[in-house]
Amino acid sequence: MVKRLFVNLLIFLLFFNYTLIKADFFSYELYYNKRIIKKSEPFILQAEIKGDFDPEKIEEFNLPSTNYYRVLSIEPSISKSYSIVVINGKKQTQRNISLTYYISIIFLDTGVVHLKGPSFIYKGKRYKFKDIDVIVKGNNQNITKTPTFYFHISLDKKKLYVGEYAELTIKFGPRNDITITRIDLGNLDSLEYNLKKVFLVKPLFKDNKDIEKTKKKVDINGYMYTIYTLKYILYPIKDTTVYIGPLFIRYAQLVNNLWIGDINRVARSNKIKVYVKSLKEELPVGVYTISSNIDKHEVNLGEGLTLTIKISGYGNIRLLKKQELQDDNFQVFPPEVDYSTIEENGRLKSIVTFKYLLIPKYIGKIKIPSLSFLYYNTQKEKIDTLKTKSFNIVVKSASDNDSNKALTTITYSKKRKVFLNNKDNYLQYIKKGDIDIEYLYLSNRKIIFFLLLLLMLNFYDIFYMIVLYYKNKLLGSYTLRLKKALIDKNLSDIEKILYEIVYKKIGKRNIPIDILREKAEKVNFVELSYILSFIEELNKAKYIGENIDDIFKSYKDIEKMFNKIVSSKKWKEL
Amino acid sequence: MERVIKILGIIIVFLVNFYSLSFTEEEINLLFKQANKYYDNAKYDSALVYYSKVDSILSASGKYSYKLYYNMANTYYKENDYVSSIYFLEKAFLINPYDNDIITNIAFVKSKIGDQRDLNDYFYFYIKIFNIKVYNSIIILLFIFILVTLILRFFKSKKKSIYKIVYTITIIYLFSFLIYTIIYLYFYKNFKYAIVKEDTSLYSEPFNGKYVSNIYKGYKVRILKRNGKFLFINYNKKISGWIESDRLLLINF
Repeated sequence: MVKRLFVNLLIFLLFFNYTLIKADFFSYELYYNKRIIKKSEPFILQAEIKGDFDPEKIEEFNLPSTNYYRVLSIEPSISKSYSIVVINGKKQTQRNISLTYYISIIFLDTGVVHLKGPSFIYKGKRYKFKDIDVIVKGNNQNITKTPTFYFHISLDKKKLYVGEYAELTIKFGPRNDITITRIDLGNLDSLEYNLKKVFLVKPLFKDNKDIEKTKKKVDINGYMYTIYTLKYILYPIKDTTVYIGPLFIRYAQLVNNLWIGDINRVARSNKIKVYVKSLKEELPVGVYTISSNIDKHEVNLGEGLTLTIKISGYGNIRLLKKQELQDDNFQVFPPEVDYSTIEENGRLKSIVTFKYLLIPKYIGKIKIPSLSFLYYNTQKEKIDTLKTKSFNIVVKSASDNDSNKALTTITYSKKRKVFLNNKDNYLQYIKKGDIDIEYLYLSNRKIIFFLLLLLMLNFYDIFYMIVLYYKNKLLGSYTLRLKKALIDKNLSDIEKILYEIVYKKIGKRNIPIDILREKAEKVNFVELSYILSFIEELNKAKYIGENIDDIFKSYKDIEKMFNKIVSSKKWKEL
Repeated sequence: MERVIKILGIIIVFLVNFYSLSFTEEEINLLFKQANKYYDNAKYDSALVYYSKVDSILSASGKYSYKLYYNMANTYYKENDYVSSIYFLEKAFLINPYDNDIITNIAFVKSKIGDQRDLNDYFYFYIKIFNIKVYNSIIILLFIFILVTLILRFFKSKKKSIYKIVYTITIIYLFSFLIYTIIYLYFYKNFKYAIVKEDTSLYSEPFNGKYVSNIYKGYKVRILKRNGKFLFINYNKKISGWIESDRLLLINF
């Protein structure tokens, strides 16, 4: 029971509070017509609080006097209005209250006086208006006349490149202390037409409602003006120098004179000189920034990924040439291009987006190369490049996830193929058992050593072959030696020459003469046996001590016989 | 005397060229088996320490083991170091190109790395002819021929015709061995390969060259030229250029 009562009470309190808690919307601002006044002239301030609030709760509205100024009077005036607003399909009545305090001030001294803003308390909270500086001049001093109608044109750039755009701002409006009955925009209407000779013109505000929104109270040289703003975007086409303005507006000013009535006046604007230059190449002009990203950093083979490049900046971005991404690692499709413009800080920002679809061809780590775009940088006044980042992506084999599909086949010889299918889709186990050790039996150095050793082993044979070679050479010239030996009657030389011939023919040395003679007689080798008998007889004579001259005389044909045995075929029979 | 010198010479030749592994063989086997145990217990770090010990002992004495390199490659693969894995597999393949497990593992790790180069490359073809195993067996055969020839000669074979046949065969074999050696040396001098350590770029010139293309880690490349610190490498027709030698792991003995 107690609980129920408590809950009900809580609900009631919440509901009650909800009805009571109602937001107060109000804004407060100080208005004046001019800040430059004469000492004797009263300065009138308007402190306006407007919105949906309870005016009775406003307390202690105060602006204290100081040594520099005196507050003569503070007079409040209130106006109420109701409007019907539809919010979320429901009709709601809205209260608009405007509470204005007219404050009359008189200044005691000349110079710049800092006037502290008045303050008030609303529901226990203190609010304070902004401070203002008032220029007070002596009665004898002249006050420079400010125009009753403000009209000014400006362009954000003085030098323009063909393709680069500029913003033309036109500001106009009457001074607050005068009343205007009629406005004729003069040649402002034909401005667009005139500008089109050199520029492509795009007005920022199309409707009068938009122009109405730009209405602002602005302090210009100490006087308050109600200023309207017009904006045009100009894209230069030609390479020229252009003057914009002067423009004029006709308006009728109300004068408090029954006889005169309204006075027709003309307001003139200033004049701007614009230089338009053209580039040799057709490039986008302005200041741009680039950003790039990819949607995936890991893909399966055959799967696509998107590379998005976004370039934004102030300029004719449409002249940006789309770049082709050329890379052997990917199949690249032509990019999707999207142009858009947004308003940022009162300026038009162009954005272009290139979307490349890439399909990797290989497995592994692949690098997406960076792309570069050319443009004319108006800040640096030179051709600049915009570069994208390069990305590293990992391409996986599709079969990493899907084991049922056959993998890549890699051949290692013409006859046999290794199929890395399910059967072999794992690492083969390590080798067990004793370690096998290989080493080169003959390393490069050892080969030379080995060959030298082989040479040494056969050295004796080789040496003998060399000796034989030279012996054969000597044999060829034995006739001279023989003649000499015969003249000298040198038995040992004659024997040597014979055995040289014998060795050459048979390959044997140190065969006793008698054995050789027997063999020669056996095969009927007449010439050899003739020589051998000659040598035998000589040996006998030498042994006995006889004169050998007779032997030489009896063996006259010995030289002929030597010649014969050299070319004889009887040797084979021996 | 002549005979004694020749027999001594033959003994010296055999001693110099066919010396045994001596006392370290048992130690190496123990280390290798210990490493294999660690591998089985999935302690790959410890396994690698032991395998590396064996490797350092062997390489210090100019010896190699395909089993060791094969197991090291497997261990590196388990540690997700594909570059080292393919490097040791290629080394194992150089020593024993007839082992199917090595070929299967090379193909497997290559597919993981993304190296599309075919195993049907010239390199793989040549290596089957010019490798350490073939070379060593040719040398052994050569020694046998020489020995037989010398024995026949020294002990004065009565049948001269047999001696003559063996002698001519030995001479022909010796010449063909020399030709094989020259090609073998030429092959290892000119067919130098390496594994790329990390993703990097190739340049048109060694110093201040223009960017040519990219090369990715784990890829096997052929080394064609050298200029100081830089190497000119070739992966395929399109991908070739200069690279710093620090970025490569050379596959050689």
